[in-house]
Amino acid sequence: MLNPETMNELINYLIFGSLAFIILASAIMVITRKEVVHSALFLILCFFGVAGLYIQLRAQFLAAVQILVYAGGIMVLYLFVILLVNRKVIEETKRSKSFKKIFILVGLVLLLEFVLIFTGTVLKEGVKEKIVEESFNMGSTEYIGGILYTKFLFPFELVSLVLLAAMIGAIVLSKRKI
Amino acid sequence: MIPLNWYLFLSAVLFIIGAVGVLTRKNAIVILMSIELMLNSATINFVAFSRYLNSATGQIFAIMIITVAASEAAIGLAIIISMFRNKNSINLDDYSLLKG
Repeated sequence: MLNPETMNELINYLIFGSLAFIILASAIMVITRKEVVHSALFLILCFFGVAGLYIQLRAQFLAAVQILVYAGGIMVLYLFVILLVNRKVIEETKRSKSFKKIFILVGLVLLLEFVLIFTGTVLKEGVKEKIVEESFNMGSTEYIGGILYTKFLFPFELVSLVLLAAMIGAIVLSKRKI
Repeated sequence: MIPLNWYLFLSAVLFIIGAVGVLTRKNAIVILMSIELMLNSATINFVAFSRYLNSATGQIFAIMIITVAASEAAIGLAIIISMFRNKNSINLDDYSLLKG
């Protein structure tokens, strides 16, 4: 029988594997489905997978924000726009197969480049991991809120300005006559 | 504990999927969704580093990225709506005015 430590480890890996599978499979579905609505629904699934990953990384607040803002807010916006845009118009023009192959090749080259960069820098020198198990709750709303309103107050205010600008921009752009 | 590079490779693959989506698709909405995938992969990196370096700064960055993604989605979808109003199409092949 396995001792509890290795059992825990195994369960961790299992959770990571299934979440990674959900994320990658639904991401591939997003870019391959013909129907835009299906892409949007798979994107929601992908966001839920990412939220699960955040919980595994002990960032509970961020996981909640991910589900509320992404899956709840942004995706509803997407679905409404898909609803507004006529379905028949959404049909894509056929793109030649060779073009697609070239782009997938470009993607593979990019992936290779990423792997080379990772193995050359982060993995070569190694990150000085400073994991503290449960000593203090870093991902909690209390802690995040605490530093968001003290140390990171200025970026926080700036990002609120970005949101305001985006709101005004969206209204102006989608209005028929100003 | 899962090694950090697993998260890095997962986010790299997710980023590549998003990039290939941007390159191969012609539908403006799907392209915006692929950009969301790429932003998510960046966020995964930030959160993983925040966990492994035991500092909450990465999570603050992730919140900023989510905010920017929300505004990007709002603006992008507004542009798509006005595109649709002007030409009755959201296929990017129909928008080649700058080609001359």
